[in-house]
Amino acid sequence: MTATALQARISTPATSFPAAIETQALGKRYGRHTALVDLDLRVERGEVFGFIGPNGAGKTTTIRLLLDLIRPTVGEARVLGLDARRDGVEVRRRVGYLPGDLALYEDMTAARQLAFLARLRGMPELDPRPLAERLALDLHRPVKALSRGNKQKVGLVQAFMHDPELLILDEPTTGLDPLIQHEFAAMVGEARERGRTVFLSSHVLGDVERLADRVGLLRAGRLVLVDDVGALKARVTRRIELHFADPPPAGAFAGVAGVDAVEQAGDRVTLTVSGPVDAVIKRAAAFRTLTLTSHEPDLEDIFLQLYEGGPDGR
Amino acid sequence: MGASVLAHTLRERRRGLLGWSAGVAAFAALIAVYWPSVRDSPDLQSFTRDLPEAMRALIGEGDYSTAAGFLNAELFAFMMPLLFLICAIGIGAGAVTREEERGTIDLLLSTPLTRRRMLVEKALGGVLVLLALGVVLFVALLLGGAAVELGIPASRLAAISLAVVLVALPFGALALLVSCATGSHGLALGLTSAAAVSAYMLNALAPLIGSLERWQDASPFAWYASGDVLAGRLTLAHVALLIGTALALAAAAVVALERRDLRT
Repeated sequence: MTATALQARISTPATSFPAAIETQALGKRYGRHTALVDLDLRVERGEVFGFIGPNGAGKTTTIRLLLDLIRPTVGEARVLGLDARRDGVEVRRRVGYLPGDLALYEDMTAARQLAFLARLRGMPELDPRPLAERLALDLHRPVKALSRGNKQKVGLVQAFMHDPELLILDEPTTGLDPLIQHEFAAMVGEARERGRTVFLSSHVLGDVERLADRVGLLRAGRLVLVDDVGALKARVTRRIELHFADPPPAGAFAGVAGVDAVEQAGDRVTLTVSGPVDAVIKRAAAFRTLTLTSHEPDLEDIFLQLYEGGPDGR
Repeated sequence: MGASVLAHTLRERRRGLLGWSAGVAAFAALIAVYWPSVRDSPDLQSFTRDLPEAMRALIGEGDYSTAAGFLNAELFAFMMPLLFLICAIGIGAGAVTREEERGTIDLLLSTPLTRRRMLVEKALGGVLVLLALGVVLFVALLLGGAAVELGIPASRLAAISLAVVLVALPFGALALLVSCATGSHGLALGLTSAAAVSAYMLNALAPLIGSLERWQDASPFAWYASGDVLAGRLTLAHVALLIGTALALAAAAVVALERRDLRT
């Protein structure tokens, strides 16, 4: 994909209604290290947007810029139509934020911690109990006695408890067990149904693809792609390993729809498949298949596939 | 949001305040009750009189013939301000940087709290802690003094207790400024300690070194003037200078913090 085509994908036409998040040529440098370059991002109201990239790609930098915790070297950021810097107080009133590297006051109980944050929001009446119950969080234990996952729950409760217009969640599923991840996914879904916007980051595509409508891929401080989750998944290739009772004839999988490459070693066949795997399954059914293993593409694979031999975002 | 950060600061400091109170009270009371044996020991009085002038300047002009002179030399010329300065510099240097080191600043400032408001409440909390320590000192002096008939009026004990609090404020505020400007806890402690030592030496040695003499009035320790305060001469201009300097430094700290990135 060419740079111009990328740009066209990244900038959606502006509407009169202010976007939930809009950045223009946003950049952040720390001395010689460049953390974020020329970020043009637009997240619409009411969508769930996944912000993915390897660790160190600039996701947390972007998020901390949006909350005015750090200041941009160049460019500007608008959140809910407000200037992130000048109107920072109003922005933060209307945003719920889960820090990526969540740190709590260790000597407080979870309840006390949440009450403190509610008072800082000028909303001492907020009741964290319903959310705590959903996430199976014991509010009366001191934070220092909580596991990583339970601390993360405290972070989620404080981000959600004032039902903000925009949720900015940095690596929200860190440390959560699958059952709680499921509950978290439900909370995100309900927030979207209420018209809220959710912006969540992750270094794992799998965390985001079930929740998000659109994803943005960040690498080495640059936004390299914004696309629908479905379109992205259809585009990337995955590896499928098949183990047969008897070696299938050579060329059995050549020319099957979606198969880009075939490696065969006796009774084992490894396929590189893009798009739907339907045709592969149907062909495999012609033989006695013992096992079928599908490897989800990881982020590095996606980057490699998108930029092999291309401009690679540098 | 009330004064949540102030309450939070006091809550965080209460255990430290207990320790400091015990130390300050014990030290002050101990020195006070030691007075009768000094009063009755002419040898000790001649000993300090015979010390070289430079030595006397450094350890504090020791006039051991009066209770006020004795208290000044033993407590207020050096040790008590040292304790209050350590406490104030510790609070000032850590007010913001400890939140950054622990990583809790992200949660704190992702609420509609402004950095200025956070800093003002934290600074107020620090001042209240120091004032509480000053009250503890006053009570210890009062009780210890009464036990041994020190004969110094309560108003002067109150004035000197206040003066010790006040001399610590500019240094606490300086530590706050350095930490807000640089984000470094260690640098704030180090630079402010160096500034405090320099200010102390300037005030102590200026009378002996001609070239320094005209700079003496620039030292907060000259404004502190514990000997004068114990003798019943609390100068309002000095009080105003100490408070004004602290306020100016704290205001600069707000500006510095508003300009920089918060660390994680």
